[in-house]
Amino acid sequence: MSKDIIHPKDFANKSSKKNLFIAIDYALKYESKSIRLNTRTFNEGRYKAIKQIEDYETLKTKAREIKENSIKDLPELIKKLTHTIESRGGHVFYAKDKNDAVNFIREICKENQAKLIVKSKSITSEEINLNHALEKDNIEVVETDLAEFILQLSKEQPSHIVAPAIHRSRESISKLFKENFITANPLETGEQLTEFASATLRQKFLDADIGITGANLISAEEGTILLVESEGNIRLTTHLPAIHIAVVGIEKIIPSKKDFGIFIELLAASATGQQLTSYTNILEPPLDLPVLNFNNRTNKERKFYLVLLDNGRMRMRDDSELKEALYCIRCSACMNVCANFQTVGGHAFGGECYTGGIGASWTVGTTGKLENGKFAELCTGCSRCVPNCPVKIDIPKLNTIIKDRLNKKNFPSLQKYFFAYFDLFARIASFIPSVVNSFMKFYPSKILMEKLFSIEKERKIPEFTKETFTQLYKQRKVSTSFIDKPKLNSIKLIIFSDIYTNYNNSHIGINAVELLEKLGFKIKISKVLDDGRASLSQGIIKSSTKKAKLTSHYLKQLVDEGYDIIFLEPSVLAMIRYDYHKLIDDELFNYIKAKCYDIFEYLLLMIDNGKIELEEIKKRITLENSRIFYHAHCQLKSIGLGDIVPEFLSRLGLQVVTSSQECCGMAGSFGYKKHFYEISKSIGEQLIEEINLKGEDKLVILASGTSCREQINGFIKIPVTACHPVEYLNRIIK
Amino acid sequence: MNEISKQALLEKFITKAQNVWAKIQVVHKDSDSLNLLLENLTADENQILFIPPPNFESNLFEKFLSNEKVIVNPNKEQLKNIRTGITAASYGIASTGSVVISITNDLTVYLSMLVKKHIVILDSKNILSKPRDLFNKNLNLSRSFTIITGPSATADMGPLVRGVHGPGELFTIVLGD
Repeated sequence: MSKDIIHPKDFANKSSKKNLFIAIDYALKYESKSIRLNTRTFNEGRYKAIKQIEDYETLKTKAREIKENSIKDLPELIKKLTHTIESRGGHVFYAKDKNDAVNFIREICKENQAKLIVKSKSITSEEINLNHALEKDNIEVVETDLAEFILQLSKEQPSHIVAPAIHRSRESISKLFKENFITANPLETGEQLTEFASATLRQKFLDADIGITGANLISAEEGTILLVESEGNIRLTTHLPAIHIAVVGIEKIIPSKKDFGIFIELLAASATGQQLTSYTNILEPPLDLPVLNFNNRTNKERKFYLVLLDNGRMRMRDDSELKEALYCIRCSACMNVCANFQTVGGHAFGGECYTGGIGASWTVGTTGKLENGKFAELCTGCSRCVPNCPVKIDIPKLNTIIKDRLNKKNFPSLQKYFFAYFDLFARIASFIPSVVNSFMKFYPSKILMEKLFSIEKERKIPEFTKETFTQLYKQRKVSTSFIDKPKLNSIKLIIFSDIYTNYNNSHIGINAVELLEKLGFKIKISKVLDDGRASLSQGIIKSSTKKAKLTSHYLKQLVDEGYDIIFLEPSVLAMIRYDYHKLIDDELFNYIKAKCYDIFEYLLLMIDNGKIELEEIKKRITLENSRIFYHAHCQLKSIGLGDIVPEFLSRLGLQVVTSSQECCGMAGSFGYKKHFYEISKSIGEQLIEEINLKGEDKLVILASGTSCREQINGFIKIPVTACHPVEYLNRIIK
Repeated sequence: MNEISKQALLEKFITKAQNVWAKIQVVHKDSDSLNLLLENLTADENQILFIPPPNFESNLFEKFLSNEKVIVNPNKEQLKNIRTGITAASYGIASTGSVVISITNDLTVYLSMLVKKHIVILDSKNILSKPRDLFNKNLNLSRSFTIITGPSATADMGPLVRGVHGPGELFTIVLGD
């Protein structure tokens, strides 16, 4: 593929899968390096910045409440805001769609004989394709945010909603500038490029007739606009030209500016990892400020036009499932924290202007076309964005809904059926595991699987064990406990036998039984049930709900009988503790949730409650003198249990190095899919690179997730196999 | 507010301002000390445009205004080639090291915007704890204002560069008692 022939604009619209796949190839080839570096920098910065906000969770709850109420009261807020702006001499135009908005702005430009417009970054203005229309009227439109300035030269769409040129390296920007400008100035370093661009733009600011901005928020009561920025171009855009046009999506309206404080603190931390960006502009236009008129403009008086853009937003508001997307404050945390986004960026994981996990519902909502949201497939449901969203949007849920609607419209592919109903396959395979395993390894069958289900032939389908967990449990010899038991006598403990533990990882199940028995627990194991995660990931909500109902009713019986329920597979635990709230009724959800535990979470609880003596365990440990590397499962992290295993090991006196990767990249079925394999591989290689950082001989790699272990074991080049922490502990605790 | 918490806010403000690459100095609130510092900071300039801020006692700038390089209440034309600007801050914010610049019906705000170096004078008694205090307290603020947190910056050209469309240098003078 030649970079010169294909341009990101060609595949900006993702209504065809073909465009999505071309975009992925292109991004992996040309953009991945810069995107990964930049998004990971933002991501690390965000973690540090939110730690500085003492009441982060409370602020998030407040912000969510304000946004929910604002969307609920939107028609009244629009009326109020219109009245506020008009009563101080501003003009308000309600644009039903993008043509409405563009035509109004064109009229304003004509009326004011505008020849030059300076613009600050506004994804909303990208949504209505404003520049194109104005340029047709022979008006010079200049993007003044440096990233947008770059994109105006390269004619690309944004690859990120906060840093739209995040896919470009300094070298590529230098090349682009040299191709577009004749200048004696050197254009090599970041400083030189910035100096050249800002000097070029300064003259434009001084000459401009109109300044166009977006808004981060606007308050109905005071008509105050919030605009945050780092470069200072928004200040110049709003203060220098006499005329200011703000193009604002109606979802940006909140009742009063008294709540701006909450949002500016959350926004800066979540977006760029700063406590505040360089400039937080709080403006009540038209500004009461003398116009400089350096270019002898005829406009001596300040004018302000507010274009309130609907363009599908009211339709989104009426859509009970996608409405949540309207709460977005466009901070981009969901993009920076997403392993897939870090790898391909918004040219692949995005549409014509909205990018990342939140981008699919916005693209569907503002274009009115479900097909345009096909890039929702790049959301694996890893859920790392969920706890990191400052307005608590369940982004994976929005993407599952889009996948589900697409499935209902076009019928799911065979591939989706295969993964959604993997439990059926596993149940059948368990009768003849050796035959199935041999078949799966056989090269022609891999080709067949690729043809039929688009399963990448480089991947190894997890093997089925000769004996299931259920069988091993029945055959086992009960381990003798080394601990005085009375304290544990009243405890009823059961291990949930999920599909993967029962059919693929029975040894992990049995290791858990042995470990818990050694610690003095009496252990039962549950029926084998599919929790419904697999169907949910494929966007088949009906099947997932059915499975969730069956599983939750069974779990309820266990809880009724007084059992505490232990989970070994993090994706299953997270499904029950988090995702079930969307699939089953609240009362049942809260009832079972309280008794479902990760095994190490449970053990820590027992230690803290004095049921198990830590010192007793420590006495029984045979140290292996190995370096321990732990990769926490994405969904385990998102339900707040990412530190549980390192915490447990450190209490035993063991040092652990924890992976910095948000997700291993396998993400259940995602890494097996032919067209997504290269993304998954790229993320997997990052993880492997981290594991191999030091070259000691003895290394233990721990990962609780089945797919995390498959991913690590698939790409690691040293003779070490990742294992479940329970296997390791059972081995070292004699 | 008691003296201890005022001192704690000031210390936090200084640390946080330095974290965002603002330069900062605390001086005694008298005409001599302030003048000495302002003269040092503007030593390279041939002309200094200055609009005396209304929220400070007028005698505070007495010495500085007698400096022959200072043009008091400049006109628009004089703003064209301005390199250094001096303004007052309405408030400071301790948790972020920010200063709040009011947008008023004169040319003051341009002195903080069109320049390479922005010198901002803050009264230590006007330091708030957090950004949110600007919105939920009854303060003496103009309708429009800008919270400035460090010099203007961008990472759009690859590495982080300070000084883009706004000042590349922000110097905060805190007037103590």
